[in-house]
Amino acid sequence: MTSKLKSIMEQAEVPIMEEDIVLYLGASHGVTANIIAGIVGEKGFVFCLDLSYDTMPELLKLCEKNRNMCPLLFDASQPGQYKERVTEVDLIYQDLAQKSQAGILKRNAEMFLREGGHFILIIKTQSIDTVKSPEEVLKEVKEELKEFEIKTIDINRTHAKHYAIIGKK
Amino acid sequence: MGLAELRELNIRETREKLDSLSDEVKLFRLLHLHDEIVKSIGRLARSEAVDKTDDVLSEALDSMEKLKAKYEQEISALCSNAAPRTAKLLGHILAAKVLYLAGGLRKLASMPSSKIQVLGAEKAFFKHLKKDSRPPKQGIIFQHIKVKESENKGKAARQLASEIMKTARIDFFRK
Repeated sequence: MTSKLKSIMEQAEVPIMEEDIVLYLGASHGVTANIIAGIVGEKGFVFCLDLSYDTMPELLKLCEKNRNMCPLLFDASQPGQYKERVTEVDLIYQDLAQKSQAGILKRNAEMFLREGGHFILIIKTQSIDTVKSPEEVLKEVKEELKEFEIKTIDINRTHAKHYAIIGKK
Repeated sequence: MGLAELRELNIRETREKLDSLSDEVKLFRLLHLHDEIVKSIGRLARSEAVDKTDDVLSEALDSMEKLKAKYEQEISALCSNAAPRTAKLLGHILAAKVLYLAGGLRKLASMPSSKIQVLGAEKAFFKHLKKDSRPPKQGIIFQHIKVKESENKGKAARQLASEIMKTARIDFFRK
């Protein structure tokens, strides 16, 4: 099983720069978040947000070890709850199994993403609709995100029924 | 606020949130772990691929049994704290399972005994409601020895469920 980030990197240029401040929604155990923390380096920072009490102990341990990561135990669909815990960020990376993935991204981007900042959205089509085909779901998500410049990447080969969208505010 | 200060604050807050989990949530998580370990012991012991006379395997099984015993102890402590009378009636592990299926003591205390009787048999129950199949006589409380070894299981399950209803209500309202 390869990381989704790696699958994206194989097909396109990923807008993660050194010294970037990143908001990671859906960090889970923090594996990919750790990789991103490595890319942004000492001067960068990664906010790792997750709702689960089961995976948080592991993430917390990881964050205590790395000086450029910190955990957030909040619900990503309500950015108002953690608006004082996060600064303005250069990049949002979202990997959530929620129904309104595009809506959550839009709300977070509105509150935290700086002008000209990028986002990487991983669309889990099966979380949105299991009856419609993945292509239809992708079309709907694209329709919702039409205010941004976006680029779609197909990562079906390694992760079935997943797509990635790289966009710019 | 600087990033370093924000990091300290967030780490501290997350740790507090994790510590402040209620007893019931802790109980359910322990129950899940206990379930996993029981499954893996069974899987190892049943598997035909492994050599049963292997020393390393028996050592591993021993340590897993120890872990299981430790979980059981913790579950008993939490369960007899959260719902003492129900725990005494059912045994700690089964009481924890009933609490988990009900979704907490508050919900269990507000359930009719007929609902408690079929907790854990939702599949059969809803099949009965939708189609013409017969209703389930017992759910998770089948694991209780009085129900399991009774000649008339449906009757025993009904009686036990009504006892659980009473104890759960006393546990919840007499605090």
